[in-house]
Amino acid sequence: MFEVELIDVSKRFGSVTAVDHVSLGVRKNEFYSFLGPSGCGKTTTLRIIAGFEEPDEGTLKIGQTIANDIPSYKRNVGMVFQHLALFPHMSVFDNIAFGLKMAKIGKDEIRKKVEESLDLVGLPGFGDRRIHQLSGGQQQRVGIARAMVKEPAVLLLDEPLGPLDLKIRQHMQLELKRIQKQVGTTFIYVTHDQGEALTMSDNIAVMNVGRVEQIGTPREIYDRPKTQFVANFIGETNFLNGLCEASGTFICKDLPQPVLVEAGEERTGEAVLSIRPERVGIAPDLKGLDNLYDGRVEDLVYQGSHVAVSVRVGDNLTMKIRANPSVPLKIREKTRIGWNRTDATVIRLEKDE
Amino acid sequence: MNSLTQSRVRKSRRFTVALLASPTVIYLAIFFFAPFAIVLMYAFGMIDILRQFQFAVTLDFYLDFFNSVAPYVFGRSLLMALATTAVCLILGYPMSYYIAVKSGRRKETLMLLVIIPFWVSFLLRTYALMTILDVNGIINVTLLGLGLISEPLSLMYNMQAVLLGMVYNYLPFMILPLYASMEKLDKSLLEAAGSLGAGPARSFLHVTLPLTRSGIGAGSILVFVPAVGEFIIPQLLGGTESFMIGNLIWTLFLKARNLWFGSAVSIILIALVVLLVAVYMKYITRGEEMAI
Repeated sequence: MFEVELIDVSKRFGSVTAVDHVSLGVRKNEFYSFLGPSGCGKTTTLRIIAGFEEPDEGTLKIGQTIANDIPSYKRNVGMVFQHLALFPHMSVFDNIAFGLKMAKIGKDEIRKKVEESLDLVGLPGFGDRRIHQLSGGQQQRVGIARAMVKEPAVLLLDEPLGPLDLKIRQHMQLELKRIQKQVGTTFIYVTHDQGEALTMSDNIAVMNVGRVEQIGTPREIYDRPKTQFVANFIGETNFLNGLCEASGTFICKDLPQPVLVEAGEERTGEAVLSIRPERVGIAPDLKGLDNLYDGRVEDLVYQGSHVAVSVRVGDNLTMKIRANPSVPLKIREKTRIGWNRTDATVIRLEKDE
Repeated sequence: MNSLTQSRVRKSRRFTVALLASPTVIYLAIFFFAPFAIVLMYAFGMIDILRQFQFAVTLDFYLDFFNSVAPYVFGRSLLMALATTAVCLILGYPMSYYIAVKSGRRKETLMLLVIIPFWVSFLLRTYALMTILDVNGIINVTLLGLGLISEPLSLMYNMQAVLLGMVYNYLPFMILPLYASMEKLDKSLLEAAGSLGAGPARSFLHVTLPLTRSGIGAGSILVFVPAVGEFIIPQLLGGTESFMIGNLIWTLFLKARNLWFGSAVSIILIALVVLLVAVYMKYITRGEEMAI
């Protein structure tokens, strides 16, 4: 079923647990991202799949076989490194041909495949160049071509766009997505950039301190974060602390009246309410929403496509809101904010937290 | 800036460079170029028996060379130096690799252990080796004491003892440049080779070895060149069968007082070493400039 599957995998370095009982499955032809801050274990997890690190516990399956003890050079897994790791003593052609030579493929076949892969990454005719003659973006493309030319079942990418500047980076994001669709390889992509993960992925595993916080599509991750960490790490949000009742009311002591939320047993108890700034409506005469509160504008920052507004509601609560620039707002003036019950997500607090 | 001040700046810069270089140039002129010129003059017979300069050039002493035991001694010295270099490389390569790549936190300690022998003079270390290999040395005394042998082994005054002494003394010169080149080696290159299907042996052959070639080159030259002209080790540890060029030159100058033939042998040695090193460098740095 899964192309790559991790079952309860842990990895410790001395006293530090880098990967803590991670379980996840990557389907065939999927663009799957490991997303998290630095030190969250995403790169170590990737290196376990590549075979550069051995898991201390748990099972790694690639295809249908248990791969724990298979050395990296016998796994059909390609890797694009963060710092490229291109062979400096070889030409572009020889770098890309390396894997094919190791597989003892005929010379003509190698030439054909290398040229095809140079076309694929948009570097036709670059075969004779030396690595140091290429720009950062071009080197990155060679790294991708080198990893892909053997047509591995899975391609691992360790923050491959990290060292590039913003414009090339955005361009390469689209390029990578195009290549992945064209070739149909399973991609596992490590990044700390939430925008990148949301743009490119079919599925995302959000990681923090060695654990998987949530797995889901970009939409699920953004709209329905399961933990406070996920809500906070991906995009901006407002958190309200309080108590959620089964009937679908959320009682927050900082708000004059309870918040109406989606009802459900699983949400009952001590909880946090997460509301995205762009989901909050704002206007002096706002009406027709499930939840409406009066407040006062504290701060306004014009940001082109929107205005970042801070609104004080009650005594101890300030909400961040993304407003349309056409809404008439002035600092210190009274206004009204509101949102529907489906716009907010209730995150139940874990008992041990 | 106009051209006049530019040329003035250039002039003063040239002066600074000359000033900075002058101590070295003066030192080399007195202690290297002058003696070398004198050796050259002797070797071509431009100084006569009465130690007077004469305007004449002769190749007689080079003809003498081929009519003597010298070519044989040369061959032996080259073989000994090659053997020393080979053994140092075989021992030093895995050692440097271990220290640079695998030793982790013990790296500094291990490097210190490689360097520590330098704190003791070369001569003393060779004498120390003699007390180990001697008829009454530690090895023989121990083996006799244990009853494993009935009479002492003759461990000294042969080729093996000279080779042992040379490897022992020159090994650090191999390890240091090798270590430096392996330290620079990006470990993720080996992971990349692995992910592309290269097992440990082929990763080594296609990645590690070509990228540490400069270290192999530098280490080999640092061992080979002094080993060819080595004089003290064969003198102390060797016998007649391990008589080397260094000993020959020493004998010619100080025992036979034949400064002319001694000079000619020295010039041939220098020419040969320069030639070998040049060929070797050309071979070892092939493709290197592209790798940087």
